[in-house]
Amino acid sequence: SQAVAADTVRLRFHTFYGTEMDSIAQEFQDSVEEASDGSLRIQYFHGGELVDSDQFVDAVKRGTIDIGYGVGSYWPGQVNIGNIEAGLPGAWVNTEEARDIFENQGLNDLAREAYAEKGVKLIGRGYGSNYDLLTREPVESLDDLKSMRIRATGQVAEVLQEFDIPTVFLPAQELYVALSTGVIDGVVYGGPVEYEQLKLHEAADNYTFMNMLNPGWIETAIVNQDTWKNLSDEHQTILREGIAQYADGIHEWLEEGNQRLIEEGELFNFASLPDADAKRLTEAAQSIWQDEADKSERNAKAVDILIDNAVKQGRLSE
Amino acid sequence: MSRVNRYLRVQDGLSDWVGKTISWLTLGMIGILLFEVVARYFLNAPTIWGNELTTMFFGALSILSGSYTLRHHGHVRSDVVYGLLPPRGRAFCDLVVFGLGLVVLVIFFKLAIEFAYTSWRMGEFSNQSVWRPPLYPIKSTIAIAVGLLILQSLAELLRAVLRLFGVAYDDPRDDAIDDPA
Amino acid sequence: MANLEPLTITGIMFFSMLVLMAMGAPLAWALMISGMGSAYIMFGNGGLDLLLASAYSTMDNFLLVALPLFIFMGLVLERSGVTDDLFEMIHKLMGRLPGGLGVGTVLICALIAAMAGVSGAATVSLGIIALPAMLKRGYHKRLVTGTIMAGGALGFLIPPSVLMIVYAFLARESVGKLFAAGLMPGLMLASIYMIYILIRCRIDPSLGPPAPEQERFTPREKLLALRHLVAPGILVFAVLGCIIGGITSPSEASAVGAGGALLIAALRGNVSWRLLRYVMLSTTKITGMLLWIAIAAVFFSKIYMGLGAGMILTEMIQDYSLSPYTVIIFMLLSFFLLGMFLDDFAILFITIPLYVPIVNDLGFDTTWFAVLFILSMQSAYLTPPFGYNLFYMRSVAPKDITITDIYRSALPFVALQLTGLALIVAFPSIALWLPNKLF
Ligand code: NA
Ligand code: NA
Repeated sequence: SQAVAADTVRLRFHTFYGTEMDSIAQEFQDSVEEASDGSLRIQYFHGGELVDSDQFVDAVKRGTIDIGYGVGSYWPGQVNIGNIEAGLPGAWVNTEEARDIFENQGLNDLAREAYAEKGVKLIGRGYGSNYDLLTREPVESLDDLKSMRIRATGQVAEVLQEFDIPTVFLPAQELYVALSTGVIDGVVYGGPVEYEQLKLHEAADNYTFMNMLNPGWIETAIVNQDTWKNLSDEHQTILREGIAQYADGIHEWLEEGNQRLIEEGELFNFASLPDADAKRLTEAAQSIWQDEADKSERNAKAVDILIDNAVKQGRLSE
Repeated sequence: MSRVNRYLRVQDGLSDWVGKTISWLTLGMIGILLFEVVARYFLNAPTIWGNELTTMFFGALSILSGSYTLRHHGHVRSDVVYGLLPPRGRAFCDLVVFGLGLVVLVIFFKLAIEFAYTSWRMGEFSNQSVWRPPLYPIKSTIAIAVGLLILQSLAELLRAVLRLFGVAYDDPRDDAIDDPA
Repeated sequence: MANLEPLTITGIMFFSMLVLMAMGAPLAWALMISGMGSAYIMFGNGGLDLLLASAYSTMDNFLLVALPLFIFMGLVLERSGVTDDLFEMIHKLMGRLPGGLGVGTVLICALIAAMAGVSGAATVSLGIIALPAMLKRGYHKRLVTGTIMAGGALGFLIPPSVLMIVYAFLARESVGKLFAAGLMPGLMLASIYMIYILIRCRIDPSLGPPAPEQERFTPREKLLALRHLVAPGILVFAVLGCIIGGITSPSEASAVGAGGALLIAALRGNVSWRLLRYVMLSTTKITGMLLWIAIAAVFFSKIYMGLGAGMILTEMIQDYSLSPYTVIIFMLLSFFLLGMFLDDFAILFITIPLYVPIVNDLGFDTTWFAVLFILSMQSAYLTPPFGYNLFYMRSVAPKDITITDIYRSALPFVALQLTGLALIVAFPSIALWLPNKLF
């Protein structure tokens, strides 16, 4: 370890990802250090290392960590726009559309307001990737799922519940054994590359695109307000760019990995839900949109943005 | 002196009462999980609340048992060095340890009150399962548990002071868990 | 916030913790006080919040639910009378063999280990039942106490295991996988103990004399004695079968075990309000002890990591360019040395968050490393001066067995444990074969 000048600013950056993104994190740390001539340094913490991901907003506000990098659906109980910004079923179908909704149609402005109310500042976005169903047995339609026990959380669990598909709550580290032994029949947890990372293909190899939401989750970076104010303009720019680089790096890594696995077609048998089912899912999701809209005036505005966009794209009639 | 003895007895009684009350959570956890297993495996109808409710029972049991365990000297300590000290030396060590411990617990208490208060105010709920239970009850148990632990620590601190100054007191610490063996 | 060198931070935090422990501070207190002090001085006010984060994340964990329930199960079994039945059985079956009761005691320990998640259950109940019975038949006191203590320690290597559950919680391992990985090493260690006892008694039969003529049993009586295996056998299969057969998660299996143990005790007419109250209260007390240590230790390690001192070991390994196996040997050595003075959970909480990322980076199988850790903790239960099984034995042994006897009796078994450890370092497949086969 080398000695560090006393005026070096060190920031605690806490992600919700595990070690799988370490090389991207290293690039992020290196580029920030280099761009600032060593006067700005990132201390990087993996998911769960200091605080649980669902406590990021509070932890950033109190300064336990300086920057939190997570997904809004971890904390809708605290910031009620969380589920909407993480992605409601049927809200968007590709990255460009999602990016447009956030950056040009005003969803980011609403989210920024909501976070400011909680005393933290929104400073970055990451666009996730595929988020679909992995099962032990092939799935041809939604009805096949009714006799299966699926591990799912959040909005996806809610939609499945609408179709009387039983969902189970289990910690992520038990997924492998639970799938191998048949405690559960399937999971909705991520995309092909994430399932490969968890070695879940050894236990269940039927990957079914649900065509419900893509990217299946959107990432949120928030920073402590005082930390932000105390940074020089130059440091602010470097940090923003660094986080954007980290977010893009993750997105590319996921997309490339997923694409590779889909093309190779070796680990998983890929299939899609029939169009009719995808439609039923989207329809069922409307009641969830409504529930979210009812939670606050701001949420209602946010859901209006989603509705306007869906109408414009022709997925929803007026 | 009798007042001191009475205080110690009342404080120990409080911790015992808490311990006895929360010990029922163990049976509750067994019951819910067995129900969940039957519902899921035999009826293919898992509950949406079973595992999360059990986790809450577990959380409450874990944190609230702190004062009961302290009252029964159940917190593990190493007596490799401590055991070699004369009684007064041990009393002095206890005084330092429980004194510093109280400082930590008071800070912990203050944070836990804020934690619970924030959760109550925003009506925080969980997003782990579709059950979506409110989180403020379980978050509030931390403040209650730390408060109870502070009270029992005060009793331990008082005992250390009395032993340090060689004041006799009757310690009503007959181990209340009677062993049927 | 002060920018301190990782080495300084490590020194301050661990030294203050050890001083407090030497002063007789309960482990949870030592960790909380030194963690809080370090947070305040070096981390800033935000660091104090980590105590709350640690408490809540420990409480909000479905894996740990199994902890109180396996403890509950162990306590019920300890009081259920199952051990009496089992000992009567081995007495009838193996009493005529030199050292037979010792071998049988190891078998009972392995069986209880497969039902209970803790090591106290077998050590205490066999200390009460088997120890006096064997002494009366002329067994050498040191052989007997050593056998019971070592056999009892099998409790957390053979699944289910409370220690493995906490390990999985900290290292993000699968509980089911660790359980499967512990089974073969546990059975291997039990076999090593049995072979050792047979060899010692073959060389010198006075250590474990065969039962006299009048204690001879007919084949029919022997066969009948086997009935005592039925209830425990069903319970073992119920708990492990639920996990392996895909019926339940390990947490749910712990409820099946606790319910099953109550049922067995009830069938033997041993469940009373008194017993139930004792089990519930003891479970509460032990849970309080374990979970407050967990909270305090998670807090301590978060502060340590948050201060950026966590990489110190990685840097040292790089600086001295140690070979991967040398690093593992040093880690095992640290487990052994710490095991002489500290509680197993303390060692777990202090070392595992530091070691597991390194083990991972070095390219070793983390499940294998988990088994090495659990095996090392078996020795910690037997090495003086601080070892739980030594204390359990002292609390149940008759007065003419001194603490020195107990210490000395443990040593050959510690040597056997180290032999077992070496075998698993050399042949990882002993541990990894079963989980790879099953899952
Ligand atoms: Na066991
Ligand atoms: Na030891």
